[in-house]
Amino acid sequence: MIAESHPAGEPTVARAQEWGKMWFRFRQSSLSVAGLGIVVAIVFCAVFAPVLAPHPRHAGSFVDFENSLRPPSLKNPLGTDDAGRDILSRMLFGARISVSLSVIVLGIAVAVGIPLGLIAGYWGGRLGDAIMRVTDVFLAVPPIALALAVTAALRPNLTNAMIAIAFAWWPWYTRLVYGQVLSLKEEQFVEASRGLGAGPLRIAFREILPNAWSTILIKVTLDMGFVILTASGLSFLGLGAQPPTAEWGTMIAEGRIYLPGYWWAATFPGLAIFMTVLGFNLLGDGLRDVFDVHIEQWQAGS
Amino acid sequence: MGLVEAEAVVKHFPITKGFLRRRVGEVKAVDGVNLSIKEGATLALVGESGSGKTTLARVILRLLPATSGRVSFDGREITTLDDGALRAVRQKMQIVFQNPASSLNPRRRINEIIEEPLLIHRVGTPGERRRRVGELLERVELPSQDFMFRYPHSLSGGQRQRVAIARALALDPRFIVLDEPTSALDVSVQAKIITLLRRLQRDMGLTYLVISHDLSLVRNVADVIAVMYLGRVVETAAVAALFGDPKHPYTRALLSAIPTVSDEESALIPEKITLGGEIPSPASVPSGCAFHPRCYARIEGCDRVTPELVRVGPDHHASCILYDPAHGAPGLHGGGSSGMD
Amino acid sequence: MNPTGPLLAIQDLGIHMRTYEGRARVLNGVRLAIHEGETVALVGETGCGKSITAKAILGLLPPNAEIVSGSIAFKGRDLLRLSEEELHGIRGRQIAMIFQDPSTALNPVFTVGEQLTDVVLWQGARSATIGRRVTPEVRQRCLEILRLVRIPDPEGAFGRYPVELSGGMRQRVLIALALVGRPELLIADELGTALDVSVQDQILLELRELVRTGGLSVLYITHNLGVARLVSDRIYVMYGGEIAEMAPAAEIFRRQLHPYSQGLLAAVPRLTGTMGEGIEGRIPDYVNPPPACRFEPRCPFRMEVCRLQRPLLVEAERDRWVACHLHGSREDSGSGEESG
Repeated sequence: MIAESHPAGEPTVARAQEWGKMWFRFRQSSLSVAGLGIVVAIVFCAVFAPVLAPHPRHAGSFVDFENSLRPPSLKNPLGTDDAGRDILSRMLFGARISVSLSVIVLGIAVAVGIPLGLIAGYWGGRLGDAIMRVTDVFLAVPPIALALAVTAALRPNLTNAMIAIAFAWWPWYTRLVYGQVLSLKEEQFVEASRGLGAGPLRIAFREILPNAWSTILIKVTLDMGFVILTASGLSFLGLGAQPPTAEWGTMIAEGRIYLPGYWWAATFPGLAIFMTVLGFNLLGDGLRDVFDVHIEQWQAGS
Repeated sequence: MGLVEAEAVVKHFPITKGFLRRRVGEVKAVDGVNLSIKEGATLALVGESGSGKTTLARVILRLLPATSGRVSFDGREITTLDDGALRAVRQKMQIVFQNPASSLNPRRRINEIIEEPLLIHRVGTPGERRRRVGELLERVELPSQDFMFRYPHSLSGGQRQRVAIARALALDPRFIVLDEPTSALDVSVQAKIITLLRRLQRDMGLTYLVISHDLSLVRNVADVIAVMYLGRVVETAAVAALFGDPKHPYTRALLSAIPTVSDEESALIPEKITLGGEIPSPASVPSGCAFHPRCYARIEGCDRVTPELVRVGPDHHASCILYDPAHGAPGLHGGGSSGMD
Repeated sequence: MNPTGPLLAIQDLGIHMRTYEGRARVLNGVRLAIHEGETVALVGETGCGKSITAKAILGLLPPNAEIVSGSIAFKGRDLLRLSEEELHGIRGRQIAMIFQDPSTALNPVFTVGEQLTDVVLWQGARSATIGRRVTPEVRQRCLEILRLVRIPDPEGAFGRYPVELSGGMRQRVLIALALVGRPELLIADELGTALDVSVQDQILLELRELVRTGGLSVLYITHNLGVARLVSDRIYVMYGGEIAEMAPAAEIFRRQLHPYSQGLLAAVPRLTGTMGEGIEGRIPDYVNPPPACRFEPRCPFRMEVCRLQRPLLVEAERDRWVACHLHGSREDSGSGEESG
């Protein structure tokens, strides 16, 4: 993007400094750092599940009734479930499913929500009104209820659960981008650009959108946890992933009938969901501290 | 004939209510203004918030469409130009905003910000544009190598305003609107920016329209001053005449309220006049002379007659019933009687 | 002038802030005194440390700030040694602050009356005031204060929301909010600079009158030299986290001793049609400040000694204190006690 005749390295130095500053602001809060740690750990587990899992075969339809419902031990650090499968291994593979599902759902939500919000906010008019009224209708229904309705209409499986959640999720991004565009539109640098003769496309994509990214990124981070929670909820109700898939919600559903005697079967997957939601929330809050330009307390002087 | 001419410019904003956007009234932001700015000169628009000075400047640049009236630039009417023709005129008319912290996109580097106008108007090759950005930075006295790749927030207020000026200069304009160009800056920085703006005006033959509420500053930068109150020009004159012999009661009150830093200055301003109340909302402009509810010199008829701008001296005009020959023009003595401190 | 000593005395106040770039030494040995019934202006440009000084007095420093030296004595008690609870009893009651921006400093969801009575009820109360009854006396007291700050139709204003008031009226309500607790010291941060000149002038003159009749002490924090001249008895000029000069207001505008004060005054556009060229350079880097005099790199009169030895604030002439090597102490016997 920078042509060759510029002094080498200059933009890179500036960029490195920007990142350094952001990291400084981020690590001012130990909770943010903890959130980042949890998220990194979960993503690591998701990526390297086949390597990390002590019994990779247990992730699927493996059955070993000899070892069913064994308490945590050296062989099975988190115990085994009713089919004798290692819970830790299944949870590691569950992280894979949850994280990838969440990424895909939010990818769709962002891809649909941002353009619609941009159109409604920047161009407005009848089309904009129509977009926002449809969005409002979607927003009036809780996402879990909407997802339930959609999955009930389709065949219950993981892909359909994904479609259902994405269907319930995009309007939040339309609303977010719409609000951002409306306020950024009034910023002076946008007026300055108009005064220079810039056209609407240029203003929308070069002036407005780059300033909305940080807010979108924060929302995506916070939503990662909630999408995982919703997906697990659907699976728990039997409308998402089906047994024997190692999905956290499914695992809780299977393990819950053995509570409280064989507590480990449902508790550990539940803890995994809890930690994931917590981790993404803390990280999202940390990112907000980094990006919020109104927090000027870390600057000297004045 | 001036480079920029405004004739009977009116800008009303409708006030709408409810779902059906029923029109329930209008904000008379600018209500019939005539201005003429000579090439190479500086005209200052002075007034308090709600006076319409900022709206007027935006109408002149056609950042806002006029409700009625005409604006012409270099003898060509621009109020009716189509988008294509307007783009060409825009190159020659630029604006520098009040707060450089918000007029520069925080996510763009300095070189991208200054290159923007060149890209929009497809000027030059990438190499030529890059050289031009360097030149412009030198012109506003910023060392180009140090500043090219930085982001606005790593610059001081004065440096940011220099970048905003460089961007405005990119297309070799003839006319620049300076909207409170230094009011967000410290005085020692303000002085440097004003010095720069003056030098640029001299070197490039620029014509300025300065919007300001700071009369002491205007005294030092403008050739001609127009004082606005609720969408109308109430007095206009050359700087020396306006400060030396203010005619309109509002101008006198404004001048008397200037905080000064020396006894010599205190001697120059009229005796203290404290105005009652505040400037009313432009959505409910008082009848007759808009200033009459706050005026300490009001007489019978001020609430009915809307005064026109009349000549009160060489190149000096004021709109007050006291000078209107139709009403006997009794004259104004010693700054009025009531409301004095 | 006052045998019991100043109402507020800041001695050798040093504050550092942790930033990405490192430790910023934002206040370096600040000394300031306000006597009873006196109005003092703290004048300086963006980033000179004047707001941090005000925040330190109120105990409202940001979390990355650290007090490294000095004391802030209010009526003889060091505010820096008090517990948060004890500070709570002083803040808003004995020391009140008028905030800068009348459009954001009022809570938009409560009426003017609710906000005022809340402050009155909170006086002397430890817990929140929710559910406490508004007695006729309390109401009377609030109306009185609204009348005092010259709000026309106080009864009407009492029931109105901040958005229904003009900028000037909101500024008056903010003053009323600060005064209703009967403070002894008022801190005004850029009071009126967000308002139009005619309204600003009106409010500043009224406040000056209120202060005179009420025997209040005021600390004005401002960048506007004209405003400082209008309202204050004594002026402190601050530069780079240090006090550069202190003098009676009437005198400093005639003749400035510190080169920074000279440069600052020269840069102000005058009605006489003169305007200086400003001061070369920019404010010091607080992480790596100049070693001795912080103004040295920008000073037109800099000397060898300015880079070697920090100039101390000394009384160069009667009642005129300056921290500059161009001016020696009046008695030439080191620094005496500051006499307001």
